[in-house]
Amino acid sequence: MQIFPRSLNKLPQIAGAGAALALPGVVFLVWYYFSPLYTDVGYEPVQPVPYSHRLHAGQMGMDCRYCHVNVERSAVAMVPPTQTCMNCHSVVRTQSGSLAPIRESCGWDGKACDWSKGKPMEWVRVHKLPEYVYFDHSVHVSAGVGCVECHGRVDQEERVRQLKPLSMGWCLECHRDVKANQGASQFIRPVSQITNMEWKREGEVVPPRHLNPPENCTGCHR
Amino acid sequence: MSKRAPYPNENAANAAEFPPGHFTTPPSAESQEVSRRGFLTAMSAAFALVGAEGCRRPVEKIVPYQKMPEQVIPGVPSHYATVINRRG
Repeated sequence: MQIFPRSLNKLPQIAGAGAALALPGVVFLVWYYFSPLYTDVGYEPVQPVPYSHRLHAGQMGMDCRYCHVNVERSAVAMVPPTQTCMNCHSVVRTQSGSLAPIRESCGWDGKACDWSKGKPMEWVRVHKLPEYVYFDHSVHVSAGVGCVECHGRVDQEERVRQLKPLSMGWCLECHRDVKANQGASQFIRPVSQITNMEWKREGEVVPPRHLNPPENCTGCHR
Repeated sequence: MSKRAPYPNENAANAAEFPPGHFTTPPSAESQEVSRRGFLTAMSAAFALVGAEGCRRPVEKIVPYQKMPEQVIPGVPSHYATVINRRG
């Protein structure tokens, strides 16, 4: 007696055809939905204080380095201490409700800061590289890579948002282009213009040194 | 039948604070039994929670200085010239 009916003779062929059709679908799903372009771009967490880059850096035209002081000296660009906010906000908008966490952080007593009473601010990190990647802000900035190349038009953002994928392929795209084209690369600008979000290229730029961005694994995964 | 050795404190003076029979009554069989259904429920709930945990983007905090000390650059190690007096 036969256990399986005759119609099941075609099962291997049908299953094979189904797998052949499904495989590209799975590849596409992983390729697209597991990539940083999909998972990370657009990350826009709510911050403890609704600090507006559009107001400060855009409309008022403050330089990025007024707050992110050590971007030219250190691996990290640095989020400013509460003190930097209070340079102005001890005088400007001292009653503002949205600035209350800042005043609390500096131990504001209505007239002055009592630093012993406050606690540090806890901002939410937006641009996050994996721990296995070495990245140094200073070397990029001193080579003439502007802030806008990786962070986008921060001066137009009400709340900071990740605009670029920060993936390895995206890093290498720039590294390869700069290595080949040096000052003619679209990513390189004069070092004096790094924080200028509206800088327009006019011809070739003379880079500050021979640019040799690493393309091997150990350049970043050290 | 094996005879169970007494627990260390069974006959000690402070054993008086436990109710009588505390050391000698074994836990009942029903209280230890887990039904197959209950076990599967707990297991599937645990797996579902593990999966949900992995889907969430971890929120990382940046905690800058409150009042920044001078001559400190975050990310750059500080080096100090020190002096050791020898034969001095």
